[in-house]
Amino acid sequence: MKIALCSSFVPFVYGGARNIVEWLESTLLAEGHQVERIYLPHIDTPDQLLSQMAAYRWVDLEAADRVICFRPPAHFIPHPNKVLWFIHHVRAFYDLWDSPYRNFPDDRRNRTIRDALHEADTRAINEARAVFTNSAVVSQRLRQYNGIDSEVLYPPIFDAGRFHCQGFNDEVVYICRVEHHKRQHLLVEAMRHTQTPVRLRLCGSASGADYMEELHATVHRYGLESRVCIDNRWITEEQKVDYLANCLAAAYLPLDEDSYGYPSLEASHAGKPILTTTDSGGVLELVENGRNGLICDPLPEALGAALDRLYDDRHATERMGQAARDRLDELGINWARVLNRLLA
Amino acid sequence: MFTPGIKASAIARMARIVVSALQKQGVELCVVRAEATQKMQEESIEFGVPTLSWTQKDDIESAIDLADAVVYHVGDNFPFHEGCLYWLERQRGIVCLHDFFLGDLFAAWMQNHHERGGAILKYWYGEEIAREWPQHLSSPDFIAATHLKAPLTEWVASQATAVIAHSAWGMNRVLSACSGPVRVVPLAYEMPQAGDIPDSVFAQCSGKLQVLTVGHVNPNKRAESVIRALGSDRKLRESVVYTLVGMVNDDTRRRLEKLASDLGVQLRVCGEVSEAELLTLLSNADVVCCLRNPTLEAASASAIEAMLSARAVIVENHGFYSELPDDCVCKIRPNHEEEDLVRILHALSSDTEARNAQGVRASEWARQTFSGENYARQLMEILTLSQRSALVSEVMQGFAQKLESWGGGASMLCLPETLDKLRVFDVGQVELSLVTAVPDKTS
Amino acid sequence: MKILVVNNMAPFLWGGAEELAVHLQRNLIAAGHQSEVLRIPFRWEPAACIPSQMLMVRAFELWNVDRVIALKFPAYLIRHPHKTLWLLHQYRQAYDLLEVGQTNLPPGDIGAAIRDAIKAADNESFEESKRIFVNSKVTQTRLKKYNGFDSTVLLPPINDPEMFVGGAPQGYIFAGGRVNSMKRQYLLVEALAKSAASVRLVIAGPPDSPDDVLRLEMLVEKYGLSDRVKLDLRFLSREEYAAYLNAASAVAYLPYDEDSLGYVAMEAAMAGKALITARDSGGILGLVRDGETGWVVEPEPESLAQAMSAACVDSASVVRRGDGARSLWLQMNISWQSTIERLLA
Repeated sequence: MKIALCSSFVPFVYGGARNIVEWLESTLLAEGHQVERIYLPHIDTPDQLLSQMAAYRWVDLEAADRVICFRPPAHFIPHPNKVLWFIHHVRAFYDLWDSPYRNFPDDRRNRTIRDALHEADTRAINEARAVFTNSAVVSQRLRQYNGIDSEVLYPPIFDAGRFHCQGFNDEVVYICRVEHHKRQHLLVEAMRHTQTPVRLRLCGSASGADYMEELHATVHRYGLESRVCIDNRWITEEQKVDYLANCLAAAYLPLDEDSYGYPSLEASHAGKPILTTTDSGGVLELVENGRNGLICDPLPEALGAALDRLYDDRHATERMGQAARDRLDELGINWARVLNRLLA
Repeated sequence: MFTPGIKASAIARMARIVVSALQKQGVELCVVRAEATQKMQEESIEFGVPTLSWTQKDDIESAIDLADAVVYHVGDNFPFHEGCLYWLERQRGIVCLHDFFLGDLFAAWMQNHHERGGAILKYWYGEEIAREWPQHLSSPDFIAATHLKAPLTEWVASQATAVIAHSAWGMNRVLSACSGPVRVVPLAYEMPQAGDIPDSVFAQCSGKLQVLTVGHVNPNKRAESVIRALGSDRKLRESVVYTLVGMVNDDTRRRLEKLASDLGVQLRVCGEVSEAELLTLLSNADVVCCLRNPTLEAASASAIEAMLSARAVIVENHGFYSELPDDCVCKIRPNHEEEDLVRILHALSSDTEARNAQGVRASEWARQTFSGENYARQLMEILTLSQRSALVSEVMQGFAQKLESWGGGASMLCLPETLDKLRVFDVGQVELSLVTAVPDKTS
Repeated sequence: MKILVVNNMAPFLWGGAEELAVHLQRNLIAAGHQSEVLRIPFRWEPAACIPSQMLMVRAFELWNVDRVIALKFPAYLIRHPHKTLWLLHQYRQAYDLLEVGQTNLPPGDIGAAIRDAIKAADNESFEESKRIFVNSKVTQTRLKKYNGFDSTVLLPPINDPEMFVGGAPQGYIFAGGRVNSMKRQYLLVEALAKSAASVRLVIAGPPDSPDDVLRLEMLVEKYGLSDRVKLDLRFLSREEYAAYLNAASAVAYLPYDEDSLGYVAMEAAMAGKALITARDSGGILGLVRDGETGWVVEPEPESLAQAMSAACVDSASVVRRGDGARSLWLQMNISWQSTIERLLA
């Protein structure tokens, strides 16, 4: 089939949405399909919203047998065989309207724009022959704001076979961008409350220097230098596979994220349990407390206790690691299923 | 809200109902009286909100600045609606269209806007009609001659950001001219305070069937057909008294009275009466004949009144009247007036129970449908829709302007390849049939 | 700097411009910048689509981009404060092709309106660009003639110059590149029939249609040349292509009135191969000087046969001309490095 993968993008900003598209592209090519990847620009300012949607409306992809749309407003591209893998809304106009993320005023004009967006989104999304999302959170939003039912289709990671389990050392790893939103600071503080020699490794580059400095300062303040290692850089894929292969467990505890996040998936493929918190959002669709990971309150003490538990009860930790793999099968997080659903 | 403000205007009375219903829904209002200056001395309506007159330009401009929306009540009467036309040109807004036929309004307006009027006629109806239209102005058949070919509905509809009309029959022209949302909403109506209308069963001192027609006596109201129908049947001649209430000129009165006398029909021509007298006549009536041919109004206040008073109502089966429920009114065929009238009057006079039951059904339905609360609510809904549609218009304008700057212009924008894909932004032209109170979305 | 290369996309088709864009991106990155390619789907058939496509590009909003380098219509309509054009193509069907009646613009008012809109939009984009480069003299001339704008010729470099090392001539003329009637490979077969008996011919490249294949095969059969002609009509890998070129005696490239130099010509010159071309071939004449870097002849079999024979028989001459071609090419200093420096100046 000739398949067009369509998404909005911001030039030179790379992230989750791009991975989904590009990994899907590779997988489709491997299956013998012809694939064209269409990335078109988009910005979220209210006054330009409608005209950009119109621009997407004029994109002609008749040459494709099927079109799969990701980040908004890609779903506006017209096509008789349109399938959506809906990652998120233009959130400032939806669930983040009443939040500091809306950086334009709540006036009559912007409210009218917001309502027009909701209405147009609903229509455009309804044009699709099938609507998939990447998490139950996003599906719930589609239902709430657009009255549309959708199927959750969990995005797998690429080449998952790289990940393997080699053993369980004494270190919990958190491999992810270092940002306040990802809450590495909670884990660092949690280390103060541990009784066991469990160790922590943070790997990832930071977008701003402040947060990183804050983390270092905390480590220093509590004399945790020998137990907390901060790898302030973007580690290579090989290194990631290696750390995960040997670690005790992996942590992933962002604040209220839609999707479970690739780090959780990577850890699961490596057969390691996931440490997360009750308010992390999408991760909780993946992790079941005590089964393939631990879910605790977003407090240093609780996290400290969880870290100790992982260290102390090795058997349980290893059992949870195995279950983490099983969970992936249960949820059908694999490319075969993805292709099956998207191309149905 | 721009509206006539004098008691003589039925629209003014209706506007007051809407104003009051809007206030109950928490809306802040300012009324601008739209009648011509010479009419402003007449008895006016108390709206209960700050009121201006349309000539107070500065005050109105300030009010517009502060307003979230502007609404215009437009009907086919220039002395009543002069101010609406003046301001509608300068400030687009929602139009509550009381008449689909606006020929009289246009004719009077055109007197001071001759060239523009000509251009408007030409734009909507073509050169030929534009040329012959003025010839009909002086004719008594002006309405009959022009209502099908050049009703001027589009002239006002195209200036509106949204249109509310009170029945569906004339909507095609509105839809074609208005770029914003369009809706049919049942007219807001309240019976004037008179207490309960007594059941007419006991009131007949003469034992005859009392048939009533209300309104300015002109050929449109078909009084002649009723008289002829009565005259053609001996039983009806003997058992029916036909009363005409409303302004009538001497010629017409003489002519109808002569006709009735020649045919042996019992006719009473009352002329204009007071409100109280009208209510009494209504309460004494057994049947109200509410015929119109040709049919011009968007909705008929007299038909609604007759229904609200639980009378048996006879209408012609076209226009607004065809949208009334079949079990609430009696409908006759427009081309067979006399024949059908005879049949129906026989049926109504023989079965009192059925007649009363129909009247009760009619009044129930009318009470629910023609409510001020419903009207106000739908007005607010269409306001939101029109704001959205204005936004979409803005975006389209931007594209049109870009094409203009490239020497292309509207013709490029209107190419189906350009326009069709943008249908997803249509705010939706919603039509409502009178029979349901809930909007029925059509694409 | 963050540099966005902006080009059209004809979905599922990949051609020279797409290759160029990718190599431009790669080389920008090699020069230390960040670069991405924005490919905008463009539909021009029927012509009535064109206004909407123009509006579409114009409505896009770019953020987080320092520079834009745009290549074609309507991609270059995109808005950005620092836009550089490297014009590969205007919409010729609104300009020179319109004049000769080869256009998809409908006759009448609408067609005229679309043409006017294209021209006005073009002029607007040219006006708002910081620099305008073009890929050939022909494009430059057209731009000046139809839109009144000056531009600088910036020839697209060879993408992988290291492949074209040259080598000892093996006695055949190589005709590479797309095979179709405009490229006139058929003339070479007809010429071969009149050439010296030792001359051999290799025609290798993707045919546009089965008819193009048929035509060549029938000519080979007609003249009984099957033992002297190799027809390898398919998409070749770079390695296969380079192998053919590096071992050739000379390279023949004689399209009808082409804008640009032609990659085949540049690659031949890079490899130090003499070039055979025709007087009416267009842009390539910038590289082929009769007697110095190759042969320029009338586009008919007799004259071509003479050149082809000379190339295969007189080895000293063909080597001299090949060296001349390479020398001229190097003098032109057309490399990705120099190209990028000029684009970003």
